[in-house]
Amino acid sequence: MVDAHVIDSVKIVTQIFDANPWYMLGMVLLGFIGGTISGFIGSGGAFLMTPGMMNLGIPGVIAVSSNIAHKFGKAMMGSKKHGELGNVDKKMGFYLLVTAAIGINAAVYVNKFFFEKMGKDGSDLYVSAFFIIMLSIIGTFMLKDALRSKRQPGTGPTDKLLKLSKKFQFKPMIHFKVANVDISLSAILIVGFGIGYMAGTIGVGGFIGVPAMIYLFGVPTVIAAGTELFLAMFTGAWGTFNYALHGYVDLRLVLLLYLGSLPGLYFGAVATKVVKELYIRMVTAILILLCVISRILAVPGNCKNLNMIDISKENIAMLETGSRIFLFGSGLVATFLIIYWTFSAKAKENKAAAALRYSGSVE
Amino acid sequence: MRRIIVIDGSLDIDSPALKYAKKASKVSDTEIAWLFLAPTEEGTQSKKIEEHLNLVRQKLEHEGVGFSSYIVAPKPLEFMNKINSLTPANLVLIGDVTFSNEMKKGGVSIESLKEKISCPIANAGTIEAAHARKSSGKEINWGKFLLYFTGSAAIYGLFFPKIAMLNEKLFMSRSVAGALAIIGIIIVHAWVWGNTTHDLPKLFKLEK
Repeated sequence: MVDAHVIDSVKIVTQIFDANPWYMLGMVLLGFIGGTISGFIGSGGAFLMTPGMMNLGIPGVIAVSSNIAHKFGKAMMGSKKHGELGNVDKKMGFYLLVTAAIGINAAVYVNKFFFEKMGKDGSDLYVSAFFIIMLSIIGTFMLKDALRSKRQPGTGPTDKLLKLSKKFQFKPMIHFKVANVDISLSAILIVGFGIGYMAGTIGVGGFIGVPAMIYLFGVPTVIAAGTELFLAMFTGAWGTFNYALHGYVDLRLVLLLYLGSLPGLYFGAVATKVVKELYIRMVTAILILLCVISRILAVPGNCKNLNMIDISKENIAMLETGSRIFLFGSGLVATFLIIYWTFSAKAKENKAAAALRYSGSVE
Repeated sequence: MRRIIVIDGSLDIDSPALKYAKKASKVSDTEIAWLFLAPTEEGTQSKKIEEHLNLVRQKLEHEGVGFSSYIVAPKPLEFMNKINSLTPANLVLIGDVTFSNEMKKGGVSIESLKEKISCPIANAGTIEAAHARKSSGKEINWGKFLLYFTGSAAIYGLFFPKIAMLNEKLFMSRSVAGALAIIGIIIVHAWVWGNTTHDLPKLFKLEK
């Protein structure tokens, strides 16, 4: 068992893996779940991998920093493909990057403060609280929007926020050619800071970046996703560099995540071609909310270790088990569903189109 | 009912959509339901289309392929009602057809169909283009795969066990050199492992 107050970031991962070598396999599995979901929903799977690592005993700040490092390499590969398809508004990416970099630095500073002043539990509590608040809002919003589309088929994302944001467009306005939108400079800088701070705090900048681009700026979904990946490449590199300067990036965690995530990423990406977009949005929203519940269950343990509440060890153990079951259970179920949908849809498609694929000539 | 829905507006008896639907139908034991998009009120044109569809029916039935056809006006509601009455289907094949502005405004497009219908939707033109491609382009480059696989094996087999020691000396030493080394390794590793796993869907026959 790892001492909750150990704050030696260099040794803590070694301690965890020495105490329980199976956790290395857990990391790979976490990477696979995160990668599959990430490929499926087109955004990072950090909302699952960050709390997942924390559930395995990794301190919040190290989980976040290793996740940013992992995201950086993944975004590099993904952005290349989107760039080839013309889905990246580089100009918008660079404007967002200016304040995103500041946001990341602020996040690194705050995360470091909690880890050094309050130890592992302080760091975990801060990351969890941020995670719960932000992802509750995002998950609820996404679920409501998906349910709205289910009730009114054929409708896209709501334009209420876009209409509202038009009322607050302060000059100067900047035109972005690829996305074909005009955005207020102040708005883009604020959103950039938000993306950076969120990426730096819980490793999921895309969850604020992509919806903001779609709902506030009116950017087409494909370009929003491509631009976010382009941005994630730089914010990821900057975040990795800053966290690494403080000694929080453990390459073992990054490499174990990669081992599972990249194969999962390709399976998830294939699934998007055969599964309805509405299902994708609903799975994402439900999964985010389940991850939030998992984090809520983990909070009392940190509060107890920080002497903030009095609760029995048995109850803490029960809550922690519940937290793991919620997180890994929901992730595994979602991954299983994605793989099942992919293989069953492909089997049907292959059968129906076998002649088209494998015959050399057409009658 | 197992069926392939063909959405086409061509009077060509050898139209790509019909050719591919016929082939797919034969191997998957499905019937073809042809939605012919045309204004239903134009008398002469309508008669010509009906004659054409009858000819197609005779030809397909002679080959043992079940066939039904429907002339549908290019109006969003009528079109979607007909689609709904024919689904679930095994495949929707889109041929020579352009959705009018009225239909697009009414929410009918290939993208919206993909959202509303759970079965695969294929475009005959895309299939034809893919068919024309040489088969060599679809295969896995085993030489390249082996090279990247060896690189990945070296990273996980040789480098990974040394990270704990290197963490203390370099990676987690809180130095600029350590931070840059981490970034460099991530770039190399993402590239090598990314290219190793890139062809996995092909290995599982999930992708061409």
